[in-house]
Amino acid sequence: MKLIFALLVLMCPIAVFAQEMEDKKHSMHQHDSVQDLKQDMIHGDDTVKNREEHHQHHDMGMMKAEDGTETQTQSHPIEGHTGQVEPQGQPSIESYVGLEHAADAIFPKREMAQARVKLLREQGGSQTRHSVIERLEINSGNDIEQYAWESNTWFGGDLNKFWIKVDAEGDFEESIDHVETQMLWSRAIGPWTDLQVGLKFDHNRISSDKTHFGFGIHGLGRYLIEYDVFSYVSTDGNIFAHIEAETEFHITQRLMFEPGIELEVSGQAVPDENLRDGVTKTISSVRLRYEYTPEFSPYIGVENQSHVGSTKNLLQSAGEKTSKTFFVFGIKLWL
Amino acid sequence: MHTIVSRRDILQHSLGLGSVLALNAMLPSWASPNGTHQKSNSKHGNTLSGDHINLSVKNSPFRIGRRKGHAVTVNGSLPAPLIRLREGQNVRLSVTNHLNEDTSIHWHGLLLPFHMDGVPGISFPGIKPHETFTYEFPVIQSGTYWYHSHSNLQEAQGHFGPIVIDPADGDPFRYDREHIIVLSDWSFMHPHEILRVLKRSPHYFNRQKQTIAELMSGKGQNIGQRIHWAGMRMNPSDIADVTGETYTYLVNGHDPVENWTALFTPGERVRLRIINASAMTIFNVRLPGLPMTVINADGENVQPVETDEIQMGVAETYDVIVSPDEEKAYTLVAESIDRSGIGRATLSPRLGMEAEIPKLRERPTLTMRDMGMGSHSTSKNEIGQHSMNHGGSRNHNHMNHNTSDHGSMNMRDSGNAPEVSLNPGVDMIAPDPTDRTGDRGLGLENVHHRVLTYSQLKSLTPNPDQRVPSREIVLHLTGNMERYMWSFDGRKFSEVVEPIRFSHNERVRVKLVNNTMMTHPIHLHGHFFEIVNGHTGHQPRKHTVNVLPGGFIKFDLTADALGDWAFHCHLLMHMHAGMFNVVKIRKLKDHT
Repeated sequence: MKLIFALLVLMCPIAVFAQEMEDKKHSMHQHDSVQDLKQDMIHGDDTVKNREEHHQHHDMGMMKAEDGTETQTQSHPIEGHTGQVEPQGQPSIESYVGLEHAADAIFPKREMAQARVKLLREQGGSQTRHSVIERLEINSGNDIEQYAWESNTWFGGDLNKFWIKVDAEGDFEESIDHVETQMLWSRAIGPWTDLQVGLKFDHNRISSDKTHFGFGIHGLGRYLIEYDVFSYVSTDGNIFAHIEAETEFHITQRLMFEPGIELEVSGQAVPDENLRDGVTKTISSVRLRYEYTPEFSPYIGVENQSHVGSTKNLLQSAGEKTSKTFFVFGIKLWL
Repeated sequence: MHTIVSRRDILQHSLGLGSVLALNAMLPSWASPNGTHQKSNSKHGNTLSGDHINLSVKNSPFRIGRRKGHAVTVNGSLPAPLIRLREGQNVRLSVTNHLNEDTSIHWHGLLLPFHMDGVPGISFPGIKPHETFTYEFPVIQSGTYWYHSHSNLQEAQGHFGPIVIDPADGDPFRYDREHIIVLSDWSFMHPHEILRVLKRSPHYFNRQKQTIAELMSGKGQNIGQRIHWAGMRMNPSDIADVTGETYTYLVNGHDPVENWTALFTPGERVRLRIINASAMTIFNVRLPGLPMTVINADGENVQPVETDEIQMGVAETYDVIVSPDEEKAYTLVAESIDRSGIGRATLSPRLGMEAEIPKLRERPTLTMRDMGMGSHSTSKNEIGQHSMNHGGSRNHNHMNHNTSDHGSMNMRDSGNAPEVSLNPGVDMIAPDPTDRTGDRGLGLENVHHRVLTYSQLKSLTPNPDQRVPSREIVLHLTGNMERYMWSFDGRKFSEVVEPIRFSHNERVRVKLVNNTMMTHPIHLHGHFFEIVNGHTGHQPRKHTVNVLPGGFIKFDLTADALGDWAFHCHLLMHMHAGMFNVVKIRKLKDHT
């Protein structure tokens, strides 16, 4: 029974993934012909040979080289009569005469090849990076004074990125409570969905350091809800899930209302972390953020963290507090 | 009523202005307030003409108000010097690169051998630092064109300028004076940083989002529409990627405060050669109180059509004639499509006169038609109402009806565009795109004056090639707004896409389907194509065409220029993000 539950926990991101695949199903058609052509272009020298065989002078004007010498330039070869074109589709690459890259007939091939590489990179191949401190905040309520830090950094291209997520919290009197560092490879699998896979390193004050394998879905859902659904397997073989969803409403151009909810799930009881199986904790919050610029936006809010289910009972019997509500003050920063 | 302005007055004024503007070393003197007269040989100041022209590309400081930045300029001016040529001449243009990176010049709209077209990696290798490349070609056309760098986003940093080619055998239109109006957008942010920011947060520059405050005051979409659009993860306020938040809109290099002024004598027919040389800004151009007669589009003469406002895609040019009769000033307004700012100049009988600057109009809101639900929102008036946000609930119900009815109204159904690779870079497939050549530009559906549409344009002379196209190809404009990815048929150029192949002199019809919610100005190098707008035989010939969101446009092309040609969206960041391909024109093998 417990095993089944643990497996269900593990399945959380897979369910989201399946949903995504459902959307994608329509798109399962391939472009083999394009791939074939590409291969021909890259590997086949036929077109070049064609050019030499069919070579015919055609004056395309004079080009003045940099050193001032005038060079007779010519285009790729010209064949006589133009054949009839099929009304549908395009003629295959073999139907044409001449070089694949026309400018190779005029300029040094090596220079053109270099320029083409650059052209490819400049029209869609850019890599970028982003670093944001989502939360740098002080929590203040009843008898607690805590700080929290949540940051995301990524770099890469449009489809593949490397993510580093850091979550930390602690209170000002004792040492740091909890630091969670995730290093993930992120792959776009849908227009609004990334599959993320990697490792999570946990450092806890009350228990020993742990390493997890993690995978999940990071996405923008319907109604512009940003979500993360992740499963983790620790090196001890324990299974956990983490589900997070938040959205933002623009009250004015700069003032934003941001509700959010998080669920922590354990697939089994973990005595040294005071966890029982089931949903162990919920975090719900509302924040009011003022975006002077996207780079700098301070906020205030209220957050509630509650242990639930049998974990709550466990803590209660140990005489610990199971729920806390506090104010948060912080800033979101782009680095 | 009419005051005669003596030549000496003008001279004195222009000298006065000259001394003021001398503060800004960047002032191009072709942009003299006096303009030029049709019969003059127009050789003044910074105008370059003749058989051999030298251009040098370099870094220059650029100032707006008190803020100083750095620009990439040609011969030290922004915009670059006017190149004035005559149809039938040969021209040699030697371009020296004083930058520490490669540069290039593309002669936008000119018909020339492919290896003179100036696109590094396609036409030639580019111009290395501290080297000179000489372009040489015969000038076989006339009209208003422009030139700009095709390297490394330099175009967004000031590397652009106007070209005017005078016709060999006289202009069919009579006018007394002409002014060249180069519209552009300037940011102190480096264009690479702009792109980086857009990749991090595509709505970064949008400070006109829909808000709850607006909802409370009854502006924008109603609650039902908002929920519905959010349900589709679509943002109806997403009109422009880069906005007045960072851009200052310039006319001939001058910001609205500097107020570049063009002079006229009342009673004159004044030709304005308007060029949208901006990197990312589609402009709504108008001269409140002064109707414009469009006589030329993209360098090609058209049958005169009178209008009050023109939405100009990036890289389009329009020549208009205005006939101000009164001794009063008129404001030339170039309003950004998302109404986040204006470029401003003044058309005036005397220097120092100003006219009222109209207030920025309300930011348009996207509609179902922009989503490619075209034919399902039937009449034009209805659509207009939607965009003005009164037709709300009807719109909403309509959509529900469609989605629940049949799968083909799915917003991302590959069955509606089998050519498209439906990958994470594509967030929408227009379910039912319509021909939008007869539509006014985005946000102008309901303005109470005339607005130019493509369906109003007829070429002045019959189209040179009136063969019926032998085939039609379909190209899809695709993108993912949330990832800031742009492509043709779902494939970025960097993915090594199959080029678009035409056989030499083939007559082909190209259908461009816009599967995004933005207007894309699509440009084909080295050719004119004819927009299929119902005027068979007199279809307007253009080098750049705006494809409205969720719509399509068809053009007929005679592939008469052998070689390789760039084909791309002229919104510079879209091109840079991958909305780019190569058109290859070759002879067919002789099968006999």
